[in-house]
Amino acid sequence: MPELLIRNLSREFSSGAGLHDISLEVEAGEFFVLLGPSGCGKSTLLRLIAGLEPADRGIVDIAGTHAGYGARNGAVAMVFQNYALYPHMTAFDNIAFPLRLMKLGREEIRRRVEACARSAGLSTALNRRPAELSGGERQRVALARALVREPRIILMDEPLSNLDAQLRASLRVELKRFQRDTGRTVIYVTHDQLEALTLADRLAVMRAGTIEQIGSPRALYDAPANEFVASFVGQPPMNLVRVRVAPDRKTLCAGEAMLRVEPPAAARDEVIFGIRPEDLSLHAGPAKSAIETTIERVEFSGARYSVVARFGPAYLLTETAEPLQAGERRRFYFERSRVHFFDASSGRRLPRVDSSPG
Amino acid sequence: MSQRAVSMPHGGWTAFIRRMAALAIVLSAAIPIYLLVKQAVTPEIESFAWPPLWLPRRITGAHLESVFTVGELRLAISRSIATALVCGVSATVMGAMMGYAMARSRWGRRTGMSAITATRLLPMIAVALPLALAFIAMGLYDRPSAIGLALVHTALALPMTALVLFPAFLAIPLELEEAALLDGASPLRIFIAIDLPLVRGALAAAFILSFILSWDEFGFAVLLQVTNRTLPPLLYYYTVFGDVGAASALALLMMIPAICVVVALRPMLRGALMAGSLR
Repeated sequence: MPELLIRNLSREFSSGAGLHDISLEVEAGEFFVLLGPSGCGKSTLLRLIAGLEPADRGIVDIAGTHAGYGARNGAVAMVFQNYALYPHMTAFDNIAFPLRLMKLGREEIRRRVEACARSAGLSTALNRRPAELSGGERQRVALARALVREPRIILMDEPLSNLDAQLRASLRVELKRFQRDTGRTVIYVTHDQLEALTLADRLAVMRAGTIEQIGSPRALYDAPANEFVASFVGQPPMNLVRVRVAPDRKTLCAGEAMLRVEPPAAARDEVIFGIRPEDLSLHAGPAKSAIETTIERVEFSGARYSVVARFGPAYLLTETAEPLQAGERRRFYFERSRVHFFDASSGRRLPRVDSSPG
Repeated sequence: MSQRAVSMPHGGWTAFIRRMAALAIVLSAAIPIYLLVKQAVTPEIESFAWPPLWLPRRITGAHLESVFTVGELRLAISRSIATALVCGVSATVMGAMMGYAMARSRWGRRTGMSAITATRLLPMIAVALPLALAFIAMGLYDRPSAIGLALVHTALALPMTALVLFPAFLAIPLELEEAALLDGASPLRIFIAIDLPLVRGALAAAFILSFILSWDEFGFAVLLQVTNRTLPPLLYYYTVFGDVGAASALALLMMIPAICVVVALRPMLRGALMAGSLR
């Protein structure tokens, strides 16, 4: 039995946005991420799970029990994007609030709040009010308040988005370790694909109120189900080039430029050719194809050089260890197994050809 | 020192004019109070002297003493305090409920706003007569406890307290209530434990305003409490039928509770309460 089961969930807004026919399952102890651009409905989905908003159609089951609109009786806790700490209460009282509602004894409350604050990395600031806490501390108080009553599912709505980059990175690591140690089920909303890839056991990529793909970070990265997932997951994003399939079905053309790669059988006249920046290399190899480009721009970015190379009318992003010269003609090599193909009209992934090179 | 510094007051002419304007405003408020105090503590003959005497010649406690020896006055003071307290508390409590409904539901806002406007359209004195008749029928007319009058004052103050509290509730982010809901709090609990503490300042303001409204209210008081009077009508009778000295002493006394309420609640009116709740 999944910890959270969502079937055909819909929520319509008059603006036309909303959620359309969402179905997913989350297992107990899973770190599940909802990833998507702003306005894709990921926060709305979270609010429906929390019972803060009614659904128009469909069901939400938590631990096998139907959960409609309204209070979740402590089965679900939420960390809000802006923390939503009670400003008139100290950090201790904020964390203790759910326990006081459970009518626990004074000592029991003190013990649990302190234990929870410790595990959230918070110990000194308990007698201060939210206004006197730093951003990171507020974040920890919000987390501790969500955890203290030991809910089945913890919902997090972009909890790290208000912190500076450094703090965000360190809290991300802490959050992941914390989740693994406690074994809690977490549903985490973010628009940051790096956060999603590093935190998630599984993730769902959303766009315009629908789920585009669900899977492990690895699966989504290696085999994106469509052009949108391919462009949204991975940084720098996958190079996607619209190409014509030559009549011999062994060559792809983009403007004047040509590329000797066999398109999948399902490809029609046009197809989207995709290759990740890190799959392009300057070194030839046995099972590799080549792509002839003109170097357009080179930027020093620390460990490596970011390179923009022109291929026909399209631009390819990649990184190289050696500095290239703008204007130079260079050939990049890639393994044919690393190529992705997407249907030119629907954007759907086309199954890869596994025939040996001819 | 340059000549400029001598001819021009410190801070330039604009600052000088601003200071003069402030002084004029302060004086316009302070002079009547000064005259009131003077009349209360000097023999009556000085109050009617011509040309007017700006400084007291002789100080006397006779007026204040006379005010306290009248039995009716002691009763009127406690009656006025009780009426103002009942009005202040009940108008604030009901205003909080109404303001919250207006802040959190569209229906509440529309209904609340039109109710407030509608009651303001009626001349208050026009309802006084039917109200007096209704109060006679219900046994609320001219009660020694002035409970009927307290109810009228509550009704008068309610639109004001609701209007004071409505924006305060509106400023509370909805996420705070949602967080409390997920923490397991009932709607009533959320209102009491989260919302009310966050509008403390507005609650204090609403209480002060409604307390003072009742404390000062004359029209309904004179009609509904014909024999068991509150202070404003009593002061009126003193002024018309009694002596100026005693009336001034009474007016002076009337200022005290209002000032006390404002001073006592002032700390609550200050402070950025919402700070730190969101990021």
